[in-house]
Amino acid sequence: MARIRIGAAALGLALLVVGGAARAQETTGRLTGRVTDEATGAPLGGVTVIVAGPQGEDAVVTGDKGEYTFTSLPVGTYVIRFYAANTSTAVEQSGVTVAAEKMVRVNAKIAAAAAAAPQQTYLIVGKPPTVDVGSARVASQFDQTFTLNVPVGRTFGDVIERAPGAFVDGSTNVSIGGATGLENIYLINGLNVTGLRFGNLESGAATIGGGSNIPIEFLTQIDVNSGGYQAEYGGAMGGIVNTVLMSGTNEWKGSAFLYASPYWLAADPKVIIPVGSSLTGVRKPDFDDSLGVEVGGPLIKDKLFFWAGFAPRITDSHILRYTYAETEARDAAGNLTGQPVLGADGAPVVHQLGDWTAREPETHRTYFYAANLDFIPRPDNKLTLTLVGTPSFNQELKSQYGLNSLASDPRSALEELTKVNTDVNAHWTSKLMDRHWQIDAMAGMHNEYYYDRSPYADLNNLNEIQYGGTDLGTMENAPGCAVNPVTGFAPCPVNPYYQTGGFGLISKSSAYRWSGDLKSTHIFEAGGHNELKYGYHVDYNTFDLSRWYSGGSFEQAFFPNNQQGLPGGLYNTTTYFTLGPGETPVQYTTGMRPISNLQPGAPGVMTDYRYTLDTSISSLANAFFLQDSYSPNGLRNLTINAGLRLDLQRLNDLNGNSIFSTDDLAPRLSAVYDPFNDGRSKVSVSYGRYYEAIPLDVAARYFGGENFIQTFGFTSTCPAGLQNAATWAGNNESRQCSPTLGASPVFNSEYAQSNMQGQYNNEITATAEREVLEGMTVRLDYQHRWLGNIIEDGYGPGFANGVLANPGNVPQSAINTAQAQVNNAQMAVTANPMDPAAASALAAAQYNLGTLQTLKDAPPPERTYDAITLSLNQRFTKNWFARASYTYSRLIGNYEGLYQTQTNYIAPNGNNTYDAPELYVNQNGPLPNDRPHILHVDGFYSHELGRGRVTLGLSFSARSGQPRNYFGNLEPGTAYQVVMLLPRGSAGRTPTVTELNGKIAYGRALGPKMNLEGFIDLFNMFNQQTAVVTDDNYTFDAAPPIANGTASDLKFAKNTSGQRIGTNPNFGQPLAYQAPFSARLGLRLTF
Amino acid sequence: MKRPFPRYEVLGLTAALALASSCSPNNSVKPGAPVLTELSVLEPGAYGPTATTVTASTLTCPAGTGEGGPCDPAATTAVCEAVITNNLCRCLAAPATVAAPLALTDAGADAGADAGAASDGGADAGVDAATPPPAAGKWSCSFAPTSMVLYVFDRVLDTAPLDPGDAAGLMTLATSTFVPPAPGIALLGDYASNGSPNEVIFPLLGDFRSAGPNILFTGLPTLPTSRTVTIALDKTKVLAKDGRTPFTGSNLLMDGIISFITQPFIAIVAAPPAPAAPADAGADAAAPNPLPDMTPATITFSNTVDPTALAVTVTAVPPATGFLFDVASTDGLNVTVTPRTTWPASSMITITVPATTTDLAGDALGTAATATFATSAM
Repeated sequence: MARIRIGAAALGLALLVVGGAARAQETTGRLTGRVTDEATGAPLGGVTVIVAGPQGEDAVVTGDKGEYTFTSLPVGTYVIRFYAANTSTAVEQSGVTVAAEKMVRVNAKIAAAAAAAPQQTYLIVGKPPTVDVGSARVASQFDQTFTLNVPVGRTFGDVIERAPGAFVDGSTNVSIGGATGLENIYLINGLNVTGLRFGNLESGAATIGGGSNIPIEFLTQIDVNSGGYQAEYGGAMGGIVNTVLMSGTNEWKGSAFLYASPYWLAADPKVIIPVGSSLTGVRKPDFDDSLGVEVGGPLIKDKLFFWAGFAPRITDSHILRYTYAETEARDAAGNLTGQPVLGADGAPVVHQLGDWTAREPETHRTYFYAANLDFIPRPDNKLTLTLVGTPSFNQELKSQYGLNSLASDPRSALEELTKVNTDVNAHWTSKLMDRHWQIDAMAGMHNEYYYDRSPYADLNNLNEIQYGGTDLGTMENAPGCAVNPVTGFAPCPVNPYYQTGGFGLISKSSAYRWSGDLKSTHIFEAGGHNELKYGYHVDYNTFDLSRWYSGGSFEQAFFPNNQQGLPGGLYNTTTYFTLGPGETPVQYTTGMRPISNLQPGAPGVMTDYRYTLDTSISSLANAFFLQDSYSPNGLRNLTINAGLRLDLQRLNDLNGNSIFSTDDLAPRLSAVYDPFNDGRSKVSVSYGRYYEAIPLDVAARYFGGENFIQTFGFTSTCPAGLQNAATWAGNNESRQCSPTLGASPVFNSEYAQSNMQGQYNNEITATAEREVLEGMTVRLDYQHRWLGNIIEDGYGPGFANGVLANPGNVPQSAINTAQAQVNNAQMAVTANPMDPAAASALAAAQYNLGTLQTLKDAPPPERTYDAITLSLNQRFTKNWFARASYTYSRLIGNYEGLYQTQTNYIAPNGNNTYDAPELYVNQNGPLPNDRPHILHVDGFYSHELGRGRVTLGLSFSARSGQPRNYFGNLEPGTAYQVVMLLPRGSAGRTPTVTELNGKIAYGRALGPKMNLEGFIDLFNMFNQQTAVVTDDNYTFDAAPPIANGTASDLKFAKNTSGQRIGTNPNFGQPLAYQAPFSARLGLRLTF
Repeated sequence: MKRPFPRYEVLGLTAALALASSCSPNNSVKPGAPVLTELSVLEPGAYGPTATTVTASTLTCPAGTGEGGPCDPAATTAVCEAVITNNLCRCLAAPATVAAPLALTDAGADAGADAGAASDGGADAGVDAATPPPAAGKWSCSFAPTSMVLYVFDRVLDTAPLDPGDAAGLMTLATSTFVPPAPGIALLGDYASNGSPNEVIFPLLGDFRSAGPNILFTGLPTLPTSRTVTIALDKTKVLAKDGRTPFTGSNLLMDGIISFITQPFIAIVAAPPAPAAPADAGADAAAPNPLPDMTPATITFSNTVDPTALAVTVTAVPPATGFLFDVASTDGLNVTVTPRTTWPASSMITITVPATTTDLAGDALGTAATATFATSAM
């Protein structure tokens, strides 16, 4: 013990020297309270307070003011006993719920020694308080009372959206507090398991990995912090989702569970029939089954506890591809016209060909596992070791380029995707100096492995080919789709592209986050009660990413073969290249170097051409914090939390050089007042600044050497057998065509502004909460968040390459630095005007300066969130459990955040918002995550029935639709659909989405400690398949915005050719519907 | 029951929060009169139109401004309005003298001679070769009759008076005056609601209308040649979104009136290009003649020619019996004359565009345009 104390003291000393602090959330809770004389109300010192919980007992003695505090209590339900000095009298409060990060106040009144009856135990009949009186957090907690009795999904990621004001946004992650789904931090037992590349959580989406997401049975608590958190927490501009893994207790406990969602218990999804393309389809489930077991108990009573869980989940589904054909119209004389028959709405009339024309099987296999070891050598020391893994093996329809992947050869539409996350964590806690000093140390590792390729080996060696302007008759010789050889009418057009050949972009990556955390907490009296905490947190992140095109490149060909008088159809070939030493993008965009230098196979430049693009980038995030929770003498029911956090982040490029470093100070201040000092009410206010933890994608994409080159040509230049591109098989046929027309590079080699400041939100919260009935609290929250600064890339005059900056807030010092770089480059040119490298450097420096100036003058980013939430929480009392919340909020601004809804673009800190000054126009308005009304009602009723117990659960949600817009194209011939033709939100909203889920369970005891429950969960009981996303592309023409215009101005908008813009026939049509009704059967054996 | 919180504080807080959270931006068009920010004459160019733009800061022309006179293209008056006639003039940069590239140290005699021709000749020719002097300019106060006129505004306009239905534009948005008169010529106005001063990409894409909401006027069928053209925007048609407030502007843009002179109707006939001289031909060798093949001769008109009045004649000496040719054009400005078989070999060919040839505005050339060339032997 002495050795431990010395070691802990040394650790604490080191902390004092280093500074201090952390990102890891607390996984334990606190109890505090005051013991008074029942008769006089005077505080009673010397009262022994003993808590008995899942991992044994703990005890403290009240001080002079009758106060006591327990820290670091494992999550669970406790019994507290108060023993007055010199008597055998005890007062007992049972059913005290300890939750992570929460401070619950339990006061007691007991008879003083003289009045006490001997050997008497007084039971406090009333329920203990549940209000968190220690902090101003805006938070929601979900324990297994909720997750196992309310109909929710299988993982904690499915539970988060039940928090007030939360919902799943287009990123497939949960929006919290107006932020996009990529701005949260996810923790399991204090370890940050957030996705390293994109900042997301694994949600089962195709062609993307994410942070570790595990089943609800593995977690004892899911804590969703939506705002107001203290200085020790950082890295999130949305919410911090803190989950606590199950732990072993002094009692062996466990459960085995089985879930089955068969296809015959699911309704058919709605089919979207797009205008102008004959292909569509739906995903239909086959089954979604999971089974698992989790068990925990004491290896050594009161000292060593073990818990482990294993839960495979197997999900099969299939995509049915449907084909619709148009009918060729005839003129008055009965001759075929080459045009389709049009309906009353002006769209071609279509008819379905057969039932389905392709069936694409999907399989998902995920083997969740987790284990936890708690070692308590002494009551004041604890070591927790955690292991979590989510290996996942999938075959599914890939998500490609934002295009409809169904418009594909069925074989090339599928991906084989391996995603393996592994998390390891060790956490040590020591309490010293009669528990007035606590030290927490944590070290952990989060790893994500990702490999995306074709399930068919041959397709990994062929070029992927996209055909534009083609049809199923040509590509698949599909029955009913034959092209009329006389009129050229193609009954089954495919838009925008038909994909076949090889797999396309193959991607393999491995990312690590090495985390360390050291915290020191001091509890002392100095003008009041103080809890001073300081600490240090470090994350070292690495990301190794390899990408290559199957067959070495990606091919596009356009039909018909003779269009616009051109000699044969156009083709283009895309591949990666890297710039040579000393080369800059500006050299090529200004003509200083011929583009032909970049063409694959050009003499002497083969080194520029890459079949495989490998990059290794990294980042280092250090954080220090100092905070104090202070309750003044005479007003101990007031807690003032003041803190300061310093976030230091550095991103490194593929050569290990710093891209930029930020040093950001984040102040936090809050006050919490318990007006009746009974732990049953509070009012609180808080202010804080929250910086983003920058995901690694921006470094990998824009500082990892990623550049593309497209070469163009006519198929008429190909050898005789290859002039019809429809005959290409993906064997690099375009390489046999010559000469090319030219080449077009896309440079993702960016310049980073100097003196970069981090991206952050400011926030003010105000809360009032009161326990109005036994176990029922009513809470009113106000949250106001506004954006302070962002990191985004943008382009300037010349549109050469991106510049990463603080748009709208570029500091003058950065302009000065860029100007100095121009001056230096100018001097180099003057000194040696013959040196092309010097001239190139000057051009690059001038471009960077010009772009920085453009970004400096750009409108500052705005994203303002105002929300009022009224919530009610009824903990499980008298057979009832309920929680309900209504949030009225507005989210207004010009910057969405790390996810861009319109283009479904997941490029944190590198999206399109500031790509061109044209995009600054019309941007201010209701952002995609603006959902004014969000209502959640969850609950269950449980009652004995016969020899068992029946439980009826319910979950209802309603939320406003998503604001809609009118989008146009920025660049002809691309999918750059980002021009806001009319002010943001002008196209109204998608419909309000409501969903009712239900649960019916019946359980029976099979023994004194064994219970078997069968249940059925019903999702979307009314099968409301409301449109959740609509096509907002008003036109595919490149067209400038109509500043402050209205819909009546659209008729007058012109494209870059001066013509009226064409309209997208699918504008306003649904692109996605709410998931249909489904049911899930289950069994749970608890022991 | 004790009230948990003071009533007024809670109510006040709730009301304040409700007010704060109900804010949303006003995206309506800015109230008030639309401001005319630019007025441009757009002349066709090889890479899209070339604009001569009048803004609120455009000044009247300096004294002595006249067609062909010297001027400084970088001056603030490089685009200006003539004092007496109110016609638009612009200073066109003379083609820059091309110096020998990177000739700082060894400009040499040739570079010096070239540079000297453009500047002052003399002893500092080497320096001139490295840093050529600013190109001098010449006043040009006439514009191509194929020009268009573009009015750019700072905000969107009331669309009701600007709606052409299914037509290509409206002929009622401006009044036009031609001196001397040109009966039958109208102006077609086309309104574009989109565009903004924040433009980087769209000009790169060749979009010359992207600087703001605009009205583009084109002559119907074309502007007349050798006229003083005055266009006045109709203040009763170009209104703010309120449907009442007419547009406004500052200085030269105040009334939306522009006046300029159109260039005369001329034709230039060019012989078919001759093949390049053989590499081993001496310096004194005569330039090769066009081949007796089907390479067309070209006629370039300064205004769109009336196809019904185009009667090109081709004569050959010695006369070529049965020689036939085709005259074709896709735009009415560039006409090709192509032999059905080949040009007669070893002949002197004369192509003539008669003086009576008229453009679509009805103006005749006045003088015949011809080109004579000799073809080589078969």
